[in-house]
Amino acid sequence: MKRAFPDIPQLAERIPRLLYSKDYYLERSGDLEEAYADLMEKSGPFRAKVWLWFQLLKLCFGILRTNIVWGFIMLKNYLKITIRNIKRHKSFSFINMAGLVVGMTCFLLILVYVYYELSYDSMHEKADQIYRVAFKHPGTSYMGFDSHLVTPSALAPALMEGFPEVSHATRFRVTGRLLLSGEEKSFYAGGLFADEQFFDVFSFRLVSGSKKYVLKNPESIIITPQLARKFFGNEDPIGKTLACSLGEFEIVGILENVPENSHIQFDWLIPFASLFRAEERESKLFDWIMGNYYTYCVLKTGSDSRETEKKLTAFMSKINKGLGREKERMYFLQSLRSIHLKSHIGGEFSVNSDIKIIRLFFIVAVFILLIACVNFINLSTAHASKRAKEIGIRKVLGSTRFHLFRQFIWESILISVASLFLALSFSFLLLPVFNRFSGRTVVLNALFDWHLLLGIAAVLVATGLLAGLYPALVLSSLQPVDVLKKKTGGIVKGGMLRNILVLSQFSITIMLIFSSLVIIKQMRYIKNTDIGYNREQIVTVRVDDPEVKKNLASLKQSILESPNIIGVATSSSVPTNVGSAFGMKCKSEDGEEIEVHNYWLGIDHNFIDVFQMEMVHGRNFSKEFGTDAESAVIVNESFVKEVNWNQPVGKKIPLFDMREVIGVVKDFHFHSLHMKIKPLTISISSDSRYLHARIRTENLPATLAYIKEVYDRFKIKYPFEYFFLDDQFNKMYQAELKLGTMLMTFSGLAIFIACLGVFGLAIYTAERRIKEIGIRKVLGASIPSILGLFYNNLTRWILIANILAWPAAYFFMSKWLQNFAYRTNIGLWVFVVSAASVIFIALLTVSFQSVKAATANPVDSLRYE
Amino acid sequence: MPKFMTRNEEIILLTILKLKGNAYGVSVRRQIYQDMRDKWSFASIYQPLDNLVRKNYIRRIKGDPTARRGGKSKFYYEVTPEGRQAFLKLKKAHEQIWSGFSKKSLEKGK
Repeated sequence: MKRAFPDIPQLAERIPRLLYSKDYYLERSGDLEEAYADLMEKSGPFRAKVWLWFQLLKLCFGILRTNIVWGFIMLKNYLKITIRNIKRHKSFSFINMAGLVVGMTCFLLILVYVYYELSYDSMHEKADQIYRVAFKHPGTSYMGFDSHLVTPSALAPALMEGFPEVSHATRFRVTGRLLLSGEEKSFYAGGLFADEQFFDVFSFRLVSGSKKYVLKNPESIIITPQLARKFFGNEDPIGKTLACSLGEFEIVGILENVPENSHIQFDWLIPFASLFRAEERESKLFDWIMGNYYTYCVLKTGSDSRETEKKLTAFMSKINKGLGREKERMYFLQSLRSIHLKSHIGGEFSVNSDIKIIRLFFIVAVFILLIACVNFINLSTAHASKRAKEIGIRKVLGSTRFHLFRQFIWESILISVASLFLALSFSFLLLPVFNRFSGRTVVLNALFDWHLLLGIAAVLVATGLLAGLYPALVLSSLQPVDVLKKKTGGIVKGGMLRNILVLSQFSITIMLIFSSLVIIKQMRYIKNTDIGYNREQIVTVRVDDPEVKKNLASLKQSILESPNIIGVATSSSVPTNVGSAFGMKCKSEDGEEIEVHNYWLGIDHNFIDVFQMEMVHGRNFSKEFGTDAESAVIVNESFVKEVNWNQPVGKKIPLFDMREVIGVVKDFHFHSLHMKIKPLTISISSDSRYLHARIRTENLPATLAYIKEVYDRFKIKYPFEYFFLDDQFNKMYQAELKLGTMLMTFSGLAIFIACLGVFGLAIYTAERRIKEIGIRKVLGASIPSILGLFYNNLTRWILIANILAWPAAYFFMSKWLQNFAYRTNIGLWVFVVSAASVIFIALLTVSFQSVKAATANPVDSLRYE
Repeated sequence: MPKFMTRNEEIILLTILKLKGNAYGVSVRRQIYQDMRDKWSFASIYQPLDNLVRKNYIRRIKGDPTARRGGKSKFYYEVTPEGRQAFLKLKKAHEQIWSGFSKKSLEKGK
């Protein structure tokens, strides 16, 4: 039929056709066209067209609204069906959800942790513009680094003056803990000596006092409420004075407690100038020689830090040449946000994390979530045969494939929402435990950050979709005829896919177990390595008090009087970490001059005996030789190797003045096992900071009390502080230990989830093959051969998983081991144990079901046939 | 008790009744405009129409296609006996509710 107005827009035809089924489309499109024609005659084409578009738009909205309403009604139905299904198949649903909940909990915890690590130093307003100055000084090595942080005090002012792109620059000095004394109490506290620009660069907040003035007056101090409470309780601390070795300081401001996720931590701030006497301030505050200060600067937005680095290097090389320093130093800027995760150079004043570890954790988190998803997919498809009837009926009653698909997707999303809520509550409960693990005080508040919430929502939807997609596709494809004819056996195929999923699950699990085994092995290696001295049963006491220092000899004498104390020695640093180092020019036997970068340890006469170190050549320091204290030195084997001596005893080296080598001590580890043993010189020193006592294990508390009592006899105000050397030693490997424990835990959880999946599959297989098993038994199959049915397939896939996982895990773990200068090898047993444990656990899990199935009386399963 | 009817459904039902067999989308809309001086969009006509059909108060009858409609069939609406009954009950309810008010008292708001 010809149209009255053929110029009706194409879309006006198409939209109703999309919106309505055929009958309704005819009616509505027709109505629109008729009304359009009327309006066209009356008001012309323009108005008619505008009108038509409005009508179409309104139609669309109307339909959308109705559909949402109906969508919700259907959703309610889905919810009901889901809950019924969960109720009907309790154990199955439990297994299914448990896996998801455990996976999500792990994921959430790790996510919060990773997020926390990434949030370091983000609290500063100009966080993205702040840079820390560092430099590379090739040829030097301190603690294994040739890059350093400490810069001269004149650098920050020079940056402000000579570099137009630098808007602010500040410098500060970090001292170790400083003993602060109030009227009655004394405490150790760590802090910074900072210059006036400190608050221009950093946005640390003040509770009271003005940022402009608090760092002006040299005799003032700002402290955190935490410290204030220790000294003054609830009294107002402003105006009170605190004393330390540098003088007395008036409290002029209170800081907010420094956030834990700041790489700069301090309890007090003292103006920089207080470090020096008034008459030397001018020179010391703008000094290029001593490098003791940390310099931070703010670059103006839009400036290129690379450019500044180049200019700075050129600038500094001019200055260093003027000071007679020939070796080139390459200056570079570290952006503030990257420091916590990426900076590992000499002079770092906080223990930084490693971005690699953070990435690793994140990958582990994703893996665990994947395992949980795989579980869900596996179990849901396996479970399909149980729901086959429901699907059949729905189809017969007119559900299309799309409807069913939608239903199953909704179901999996509903289950993942429920799991998410459970997981959230578990994470909440487990967070304290997790914090103890990670050594951080992550709070779940981070979860309420909208970034993270969005992320979690995305993950949730992704999990639901991912986990529900395949089951939904499979389930919705079932043919009602087959289903209702009870051809349950071969309904759900995809056995291959299930196997591959199990394969990937176990590959991941094996990788995790493999890695944690290697870490455990390395930790054991560290524990059992002969570090060159006996670190057990040594109590170390800090000797800071001037009065105690003066009376060290009689203190030692008095401590030795106790029958529980075997020996006492003093030293300048703890033997687990010898810090002082310098270069020294030594002559080799051919008269060649060799520059040795060596570490120095000052000890007393008893030290080597108390620590049970071994002398390789020569003799120990002895009181019989009166000149030992002034002119003798002991070196270690590495030193001898470095200078190539055949006859070390009797050689002279320029340590302080010329000293004679009287002995060579066997190499011992005076740093962590990450580092190679370096050349070391040991001499008698009266300036001791640590006192070590070797004690007997019996009566430990009494012995400690005795030492404290003796110490207190001499001290003026410095509190008694001690630690066990062994603990100190273990602390050096805390990062690794943490990593190991975390990986171990997560691999445990991974295997748990994977086994839940295997368990669920075993239930399914047992049910599906119940008749087959019955017939086999009737025909004379033995129980072991039926168990074999269950085991063979699984074992095969786990073995393949091993073969897939080993190379990857081996590669990563040998890389990790390279962090240690002294390391174990990845032995055969790591391979064997990782494989065997997984196979054993998996088979054990399957056994619950399979033994039941194999021993069942065939009559029961075959009776109705 | 008659099934719940919204105001719009009520108006549409009345209009269909009034149009006596010539009630289809365009004519219903035109009639409403004539009676109420209010231009309803098609979307707001179809919604109550569909609801009334679902409640079984009216039924759709396929008519003939016309050129003016681009060759598409008209669909006429007709009130079912059930609809008629519901409407009578509604009318009675209305009268009950409105009884006791004079035009004067309504205007004065007393």
